[in-house]
Amino acid sequence: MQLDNYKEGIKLYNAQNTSAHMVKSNFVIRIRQYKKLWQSIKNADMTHPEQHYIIQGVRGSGKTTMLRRLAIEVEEDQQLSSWLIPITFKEEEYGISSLFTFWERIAEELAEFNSALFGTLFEKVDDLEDNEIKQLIAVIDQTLITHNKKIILFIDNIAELFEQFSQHEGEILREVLTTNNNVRIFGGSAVRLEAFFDNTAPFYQFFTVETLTGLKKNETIALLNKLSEHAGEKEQQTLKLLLKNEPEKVESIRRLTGGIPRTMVILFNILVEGAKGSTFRLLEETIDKTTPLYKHRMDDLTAQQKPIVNAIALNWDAISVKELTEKTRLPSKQISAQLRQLEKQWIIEKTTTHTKNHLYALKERFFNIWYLMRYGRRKDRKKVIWLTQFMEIWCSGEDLLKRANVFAQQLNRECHPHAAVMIANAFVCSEQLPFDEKTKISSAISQFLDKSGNGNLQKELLPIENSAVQQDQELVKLLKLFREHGDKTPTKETQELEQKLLESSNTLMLGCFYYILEQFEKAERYLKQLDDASARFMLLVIYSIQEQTDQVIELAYKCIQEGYFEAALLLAFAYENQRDFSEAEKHYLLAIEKEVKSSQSKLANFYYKRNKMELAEKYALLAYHADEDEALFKLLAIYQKQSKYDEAETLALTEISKGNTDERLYISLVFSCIYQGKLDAAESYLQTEQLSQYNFLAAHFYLAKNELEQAKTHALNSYQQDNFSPAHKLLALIYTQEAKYELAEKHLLEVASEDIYAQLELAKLYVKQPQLKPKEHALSLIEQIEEIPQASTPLVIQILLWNNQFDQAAKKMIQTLSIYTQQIDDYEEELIQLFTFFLAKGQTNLVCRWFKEYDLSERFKPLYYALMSLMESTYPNELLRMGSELKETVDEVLQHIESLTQKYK
Amino acid sequence: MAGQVAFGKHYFPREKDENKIWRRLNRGSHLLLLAPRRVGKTSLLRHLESQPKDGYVFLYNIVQSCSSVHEYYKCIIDNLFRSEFTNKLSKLSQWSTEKLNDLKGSIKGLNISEAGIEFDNQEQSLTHHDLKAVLEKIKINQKLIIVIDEFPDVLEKIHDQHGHAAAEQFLAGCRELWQEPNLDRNIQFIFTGSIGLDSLVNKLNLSDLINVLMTVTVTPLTTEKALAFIGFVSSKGQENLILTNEIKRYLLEKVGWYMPYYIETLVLSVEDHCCENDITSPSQQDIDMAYEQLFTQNYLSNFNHWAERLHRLEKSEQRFAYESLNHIAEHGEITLSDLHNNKASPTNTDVNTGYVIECLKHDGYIFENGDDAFEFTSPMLKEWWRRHAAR
Repeated sequence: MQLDNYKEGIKLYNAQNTSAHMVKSNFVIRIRQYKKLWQSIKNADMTHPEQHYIIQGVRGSGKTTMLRRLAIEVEEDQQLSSWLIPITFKEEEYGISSLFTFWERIAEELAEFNSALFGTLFEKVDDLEDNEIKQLIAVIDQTLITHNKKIILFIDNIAELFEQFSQHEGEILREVLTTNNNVRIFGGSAVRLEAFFDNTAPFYQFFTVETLTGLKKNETIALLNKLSEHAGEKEQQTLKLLLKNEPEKVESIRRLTGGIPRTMVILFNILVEGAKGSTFRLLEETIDKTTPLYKHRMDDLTAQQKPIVNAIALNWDAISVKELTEKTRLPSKQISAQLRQLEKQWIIEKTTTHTKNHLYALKERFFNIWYLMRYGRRKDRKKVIWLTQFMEIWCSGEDLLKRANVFAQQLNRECHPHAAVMIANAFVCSEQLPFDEKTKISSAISQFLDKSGNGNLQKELLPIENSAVQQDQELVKLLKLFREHGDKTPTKETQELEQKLLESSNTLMLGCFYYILEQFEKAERYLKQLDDASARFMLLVIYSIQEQTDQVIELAYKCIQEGYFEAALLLAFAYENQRDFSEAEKHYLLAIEKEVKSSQSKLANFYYKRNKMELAEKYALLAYHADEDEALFKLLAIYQKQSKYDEAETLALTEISKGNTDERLYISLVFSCIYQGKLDAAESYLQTEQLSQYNFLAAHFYLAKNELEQAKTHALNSYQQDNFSPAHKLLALIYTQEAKYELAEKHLLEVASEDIYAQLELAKLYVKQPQLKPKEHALSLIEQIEEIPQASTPLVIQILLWNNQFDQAAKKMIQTLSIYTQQIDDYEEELIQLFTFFLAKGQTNLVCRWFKEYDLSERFKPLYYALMSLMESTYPNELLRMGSELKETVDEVLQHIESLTQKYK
Repeated sequence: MAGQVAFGKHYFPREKDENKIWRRLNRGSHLLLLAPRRVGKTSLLRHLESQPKDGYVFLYNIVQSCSSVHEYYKCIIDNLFRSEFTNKLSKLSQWSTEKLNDLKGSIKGLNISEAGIEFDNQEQSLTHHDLKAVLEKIKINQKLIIVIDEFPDVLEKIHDQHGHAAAEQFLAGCRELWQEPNLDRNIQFIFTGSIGLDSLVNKLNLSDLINVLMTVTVTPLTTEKALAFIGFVSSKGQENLILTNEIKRYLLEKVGWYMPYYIETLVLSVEDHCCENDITSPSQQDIDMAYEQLFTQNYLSNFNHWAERLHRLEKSEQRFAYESLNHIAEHGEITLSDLHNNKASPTNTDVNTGYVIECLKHDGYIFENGDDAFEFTSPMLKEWWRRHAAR
């Protein structure tokens, strides 16, 4: 790619007219390909027909520059230029309509090159008839032989040129290419060569195709470095910092542009111009600068092609003829014919499928982006933005929320209004941002536009959601369902629901909705508007949670009157907060009277805090017998506090005898004895089978006895011998961190059989460090656990998969999915991990089913395309829809899957 | 070789095939060189031309653009009269200018200029008689071997554009030349082309007209030759790759069918891969990656001719070909009973399935594996078919 001095303006579109010196000094990428091509010219004496080349690549990929660079080198090589004449056909070479005129042009160029040698040639040629093509070639050939010269043709847009030739002319050309050793061709083509790879043009095989692909990361940086060199010290520094601090910006755009150098040059131009803002803003400017290129491309389209390209571009993902028929209302036959043409023009890319329904997408992703930004309806724009956003999240790992916040805060007059709108829209379309954030952004952008005098852009802003109004009944149903799952975090579903509610203007529902979501400010706004008992109670709860005691006291009485007796408890809390203990007590008692849940243990706690131990004990005991939450430990604490160690001991023993293994019971028990001074009893409890492992307590016991040596021994024993889980787990944790896995394992192994958490820790260690033990160990560990805490389910699933227990793993996964997908934001990481693990174990069909069932393909797009890549034989069409900018990410996912496959064989 | 016909130092010697041709030429036969596309027929023939055994002189003709009997003979006669060839004759047999002029005057109403032959009467139409007249005048001590490349294309065009009778007449004219006793001792023909002439004449029911031709085929390289070929190809690159014998063997394993084109295609991909990743000594994994790379967009043009070849078939024949190849791609082979079953399918009742299978065999898609079944000739081809064509 040729780069011009930035300050002189970048001559992006006319590499052919740039000076030889500029071309040479700025040639910094495609070096390897250049060297290869140059060697093939330099080392050939052309005694036999030589290899012909075609350099193919999309517009802006550097074909012209490459041809130009080679031509310059031929010209400047003294040895070569003595016998080899470079002839360059300009990018826009008009007037060549046949093989005859093509050779005629060569004769012309030769005459121009050296009129002394070739002046008469042109006259001879002039005498020939148009159908005497073979004669024409023979004459030129003879003249070259006579003067001991050979020619090398550099032909840009060679496919378009060859397309002018009839089949017969193509065959003649093939004969020449095979047999003539005086002519060599280096072509450039932005058209897929397959366009003429058929029987009508039988010369293709005589070309070696050199493809200029998108630049890789390091090439991009090399290019930018060279550019900054031109731009001066200040820009060099700017670039250096940018690459260092925000490489994702370059990376993101590189992916979006497909790594096309010309676009990179534009990008750099924007960079050094000091454009501020995020990648989107750079992109926006890039798009403006790219418009001439693409406008030209669009203008080149025929009237029939335009609507087709439009439909394909707006669809972003690959599209079938059938879909195109629906969108354009053109007959499919016509569409197919145009598609073939567009494919040749390299505007679209066909991806063949099993069926006749091939898929078509715009070949150059950046062109598609440009198109969507320029011509896209709002709805369609969303897609590109969303994808970019997804990429950003994936690549940089940065928190979207943070970006949103920064964006909203940094909207000021220096911002490019259109770019700001773009980004705001992108955020608003994101499914991962909470409604609040979107509202914030909406209002921030709105304000910004007004303040900056861009109010006319308001209409470009996307609404936060836009669903149809639903019937109340359905909302109730949804709300109920939603409530049952207790989801507090905004998800796609909750946002849809919210939108429906907003549209239905159902204030109660909205209040309720926000109440459930714990968005209290909003909830309050709606609930306050209502004269409704349930609304009042919700409002009361909100006030209570927010410790707005005055409001609670004001409202609670009415709620109690309306039969919301929980209000009594809230009122009690409020009075307690206000240190009005008598009113508090009164209402605790009222709550108990009205059988409000947990009210007894709450009152017990109230008395406990007031140090009214008898009353506390009374209500704690009642609560304990009523099986209220935490009543047992409250009671134990009350006993301890009253020094009723006997009762505490009895209670603890009773619980232990019932099979309660809560450590606090043992601790309480032993401590009870210790504090009763019943050290013998304590000792005996410590020596019982159940408690023998509580060396840790024994350590305490001996501490109480002031037998320090013993305490120390027991403390050591507590993790060295007695399987006291916390000690071992703690130690194991330390060892794990030190990568002393064997020691960690050792400690966990000691406690694993007794402590399910230790057991799970051990299982986890085995999964993370599969080299430690065969996979069966992890499996047997989890099999021993009767009830595995829900939080450990992903671990269990992984172990099952590792052990090829697919049925069980799938069963667990199904259960897990029903939970996780309700709170998808909370469990995103777990889900990705689990799906990846399933894929690593080759379970593509299962994962595919789940993706469909829970509609996850959009949410986990890279994973989805990785899946489609793995299932290419089954779903060849799906993978083809993937935008090329996702490719690297998907490849990374695939690599990760592959590494897991190897790890968990 | 990938791309252009390989000449001179770019030509990798294939002594076995060369000798096979020489042996047959020595017997005085006219040859039909049969080989799939891209196995290097033209390179082989041009090598024979440039390095002939004593007593032989070659004239190479590519006749693909000829669509009539006249154009066909004009092409050959043009080449005979070109200074390139006449200079060769003069040099070999010390021909005088008179003798050359005599030769050039062997056809009436014909002028020779820089631009080739021209006719006094534009209506004049050349036939095999004219070629015969010219050839009869070439009295040299050497045997003249006239190579006709892409001959089947001409036959097919004459058949398509001028009808069956014209094609039959054209072949009959050719045969007359082959059997002409006056020429027989001095002139021999080698016919070749990327379409199998044998299957074409079979289809056109003209087989008897070419039964004079002795068939000779181009065979894959032996392992030893293939290993040497890898060295030959990789030494041409700038990349200075170190390919151990083990890696070369691994590479060949991937190619499966030791035709130079396929070996070179993979070697080039290996070079690209290594260069992109700064690797000088590729591992098996690198070979795997380079192999994979072959099936990505930028490399697909290496295989496209495989799909194009089938376009020549009728639609129903194409469908049968696809069915069969898909089956092989999926199951590794297609047994004769599978084939039979497919043939019996209602959709294939009108298909000349035998012809299709012959074409697939000739074109190098498949070979009979000795187990009453057909397989893809190369794992590379199979892989490409599986990924790109079988859709």
